[in-house]
Amino acid sequence: MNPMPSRFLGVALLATATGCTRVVDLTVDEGPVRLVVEGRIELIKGDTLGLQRIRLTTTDAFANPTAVPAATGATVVVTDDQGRVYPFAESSTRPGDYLARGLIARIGGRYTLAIRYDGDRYEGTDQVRSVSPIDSLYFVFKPKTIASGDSGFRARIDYADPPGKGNYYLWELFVGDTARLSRDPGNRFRVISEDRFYDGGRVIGYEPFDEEVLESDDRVLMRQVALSEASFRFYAALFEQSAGGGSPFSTPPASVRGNVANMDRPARYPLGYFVAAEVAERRGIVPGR
Amino acid sequence: MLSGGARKGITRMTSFQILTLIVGAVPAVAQPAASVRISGFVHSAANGEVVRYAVIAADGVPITAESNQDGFFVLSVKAGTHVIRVRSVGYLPFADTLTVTQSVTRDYRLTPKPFQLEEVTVSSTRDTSDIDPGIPEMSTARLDIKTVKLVPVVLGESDPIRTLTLLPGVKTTSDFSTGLSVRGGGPDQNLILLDESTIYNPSHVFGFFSVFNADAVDDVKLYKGAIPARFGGRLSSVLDIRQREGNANEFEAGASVGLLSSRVLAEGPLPGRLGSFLVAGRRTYADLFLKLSSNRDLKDNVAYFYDLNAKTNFRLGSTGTLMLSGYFGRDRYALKDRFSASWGNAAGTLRWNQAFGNRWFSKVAFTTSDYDYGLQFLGTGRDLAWTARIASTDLSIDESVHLGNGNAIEFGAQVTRPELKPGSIRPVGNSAIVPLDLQPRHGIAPAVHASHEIELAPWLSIRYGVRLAGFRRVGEATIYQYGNNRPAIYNSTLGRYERGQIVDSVRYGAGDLVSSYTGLEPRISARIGLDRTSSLKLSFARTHQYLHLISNTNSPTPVDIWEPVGPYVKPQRADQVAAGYASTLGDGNYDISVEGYYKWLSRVTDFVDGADLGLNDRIETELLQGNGRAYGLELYARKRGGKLTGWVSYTLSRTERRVQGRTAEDPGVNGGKYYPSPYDKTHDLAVVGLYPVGRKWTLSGTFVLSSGLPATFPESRYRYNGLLLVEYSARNAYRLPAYHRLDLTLTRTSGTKQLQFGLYNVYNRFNAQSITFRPSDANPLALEAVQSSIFGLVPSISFSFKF
Repeated sequence: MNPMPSRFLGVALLATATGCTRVVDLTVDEGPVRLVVEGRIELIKGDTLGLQRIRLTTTDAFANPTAVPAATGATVVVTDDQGRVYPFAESSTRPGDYLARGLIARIGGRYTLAIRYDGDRYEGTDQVRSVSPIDSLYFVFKPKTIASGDSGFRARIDYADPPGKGNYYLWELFVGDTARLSRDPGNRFRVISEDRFYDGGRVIGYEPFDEEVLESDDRVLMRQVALSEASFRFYAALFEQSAGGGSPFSTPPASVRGNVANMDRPARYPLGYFVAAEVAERRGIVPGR
Repeated sequence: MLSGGARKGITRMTSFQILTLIVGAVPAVAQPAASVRISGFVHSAANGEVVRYAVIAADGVPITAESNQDGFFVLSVKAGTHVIRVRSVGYLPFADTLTVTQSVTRDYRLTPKPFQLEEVTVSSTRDTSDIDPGIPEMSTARLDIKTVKLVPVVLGESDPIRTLTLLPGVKTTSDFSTGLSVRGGGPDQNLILLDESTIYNPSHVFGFFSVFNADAVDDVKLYKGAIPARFGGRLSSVLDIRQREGNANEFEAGASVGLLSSRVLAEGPLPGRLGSFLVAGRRTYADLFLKLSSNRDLKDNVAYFYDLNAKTNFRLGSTGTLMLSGYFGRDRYALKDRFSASWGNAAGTLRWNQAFGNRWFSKVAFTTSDYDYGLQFLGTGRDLAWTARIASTDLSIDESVHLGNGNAIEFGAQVTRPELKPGSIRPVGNSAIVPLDLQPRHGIAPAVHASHEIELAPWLSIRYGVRLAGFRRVGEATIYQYGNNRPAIYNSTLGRYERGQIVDSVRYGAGDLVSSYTGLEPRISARIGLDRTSSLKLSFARTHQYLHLISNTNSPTPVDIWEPVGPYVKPQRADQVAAGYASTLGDGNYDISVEGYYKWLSRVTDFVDGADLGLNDRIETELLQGNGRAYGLELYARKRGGKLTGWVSYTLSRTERRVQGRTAEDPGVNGGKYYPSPYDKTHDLAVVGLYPVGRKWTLSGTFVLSSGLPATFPESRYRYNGLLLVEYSARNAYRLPAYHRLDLTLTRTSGTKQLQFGLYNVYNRFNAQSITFRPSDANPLALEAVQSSIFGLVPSISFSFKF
């Protein structure tokens, strides 16, 4: 783990070095095509529709300049620990999106995802964890500084961690329908969190997305997702790898392995994670200055 | 070779027997009784500081003596009249006619030559003990501080550690790192001693500079192999750095001003000529410029480091010295209301040297060392302060006894008490953070050693010895027990490591033994003289390491922590064999050496993919231990005489690790296959030249060329959570482009003033530090490969003077 804030390191490098970056051509050997599972069974607090979506894509060549390919024509089924079976149907408008309705998850319930794609059987399982509500969502204007970046509003939340260690959080920020997440080494320390250091505490003025500058009148949705220790570690590794590395203080690049397995050909493992979680949501509108 | 606590009594016995054996064997090879001994110290006439490694010879006596690290020598001669000659590099030769009827104490004072490069001619005097064909010592490198100050460096900040990387077998992982990789070892495998006190983190500015202020340092010696038995505790090397003692003749003060830092120094005799003192300081002032800024945001930030070196020597009669030495350094960086970081070393040594009976040199040293860091994260809603610390105290006794010319024994004992506080968290202000303290690690590390150096024939000398060292982890401690005794479990369905299930924990009270390791470390080296100026050298050395740096970053960071061996983390071990050829040519103007080495490493540590090492009380769940191998060929040629001086060093090497899993189906790292270690550079060439231009100017240049570092590149890409990511191939399967760079420095020396202009990376080569992958700005759907480099062309200027 590298707890040095990225911008701080950036400043340190800038202050002491005249180095820079440049885009280079790179020829690499292409690896096998892998299935990528972006699957989540959500229990949104107060929801009665039970709309669920699982997105399947595949890997492609590193240098490909177009959108990643959707994995179409898969069979997707979720079963719970009480024997209920929920088939997912592929969306007619968005290939690779597999949808179900009426799946209202149960806290503590164990859900298993089964996928049949391109001749292989994939399976992953997770258990729904509860999440505490977002007590408030508000917006704070920050002027431009070296330490905090561009001027503009940032979203802040208050939440109370329930007593007892073992609560893990993931946050998602939407402006309108668009998810906002920058590639930043700080994600690993802000966009996800474990209560190891503040168990049972009330967190005030937390900024999970301090890189995301918001404008007045933006319609903002903040989501707080309960993770397990295993899925927390998955996201931690994912954010660490997505930050790009390359500083002398980054960890070695490595494949980020999730909880979905290829049951027929283990070596052709899929990427991504299947999460079952309770989600707390809070909406707000960014005020004028 | 390692045994548990139950066998400790037996191994202790063994070491005692070995010592008895060595001492007992001595009379058989001792010199005839008719001889007498001349012993004493060699000092510089200019400032009274000791002269190390001076050669003391008597006309007609075939074997010469050499002054040791503390300037002490013993020479055996027959009773009668002798011409004694004392020589050392940088000093005028000294001759003295002496009539001896019994053993005498005699100190020599050498007059320094005025430092002008064209006059540095050397004949058979030894300033680089690595190359001297006349001694069994090999695989060492000594740096001359005057050379260090002339060799080009980035931003004009002379740095002994950076200069070491221009020697064969020594590399760094990046332009931004003073972490050394010696013969393929990791940066934590170097024992770094400043006046015999351990320095746990030798870096300033995240590794950019080392903590060693060239003004305060007198001698730098690196052991890459054939490590003497008196050193232990690290696998790869020993870096033995000595601070200057200070001028014992007159008071002097000096200062220097550079782009980055200013340095001051004061030194002089103690009242009543009882000894000398030296105080040196260095501070950077980037933040002082920040304070001048009109930008309020910049103004409130903090960025500096400082060093304070102090040393004093008290003479105890003519044969003893009491020395007190200290080093304090600290880095501080802060972004107002957001973040602050601070780290530093404090090290101290109290040492008593005494010579007895013109043959016995005794040294008792008590050292303390302390490295700590603190971080604050503010403005997050969960503000916290994070601190960690490693401290140790160490008592050592080292004895060396002269038995005759070319015949000496050394023995000693050492006990170290490390105490590690791996991390504490405290809330700052009105924060939800709950205080947390990871459990401290306590231990005791005892060691005994003995060695014997003897010249068996004019063409053959050997040094053999043994070190018996151990590590006892003691309470207080809570040790977790895992299901199937496996702290990390491989999930073969998902292809990843998971933390083992805790089934129980054992509580140890203060001082209770938790685990114990003891290991025997044989060391042997031999010289086979081929003719007067060349020899073959062979060595074998085993080393164990009982403290591991827990770091999975490319270079060590200031916030890395150390973990002692314990029930789950086993000691690392290295066995190194080396063979070399050393020769002095052209009236001593040229030295050449060739050395080959092979190292077997076992239980080297690596970490599972995605390891979480921060504030982790159960490091064992993230750690895997494996094997390694490192081998290489080192060529070194040096020109010491004439106008142009300098050296060429070339290393051809390979260093690999293999981390297999704990069971058959568990793959370890990289599928259990060998992979290049992060420091592996196949070719590494350095050329250093110094040339006087006129009477006052010196032009110096270095050129380096090496293979690119190993790199891991993508085999495909994918999208997850809105981020475009890459899936990687096998670890370190590719390489970065080749690295090359030319640096130049022009130095004007007049009297005690020195003005220096430097150019780093003269032709502005875009050397790759890394290649990373990010979405293209032009097309967010596509990834691009981005090469980053740390330094372009960097000019520098510095000025130093004495008053």
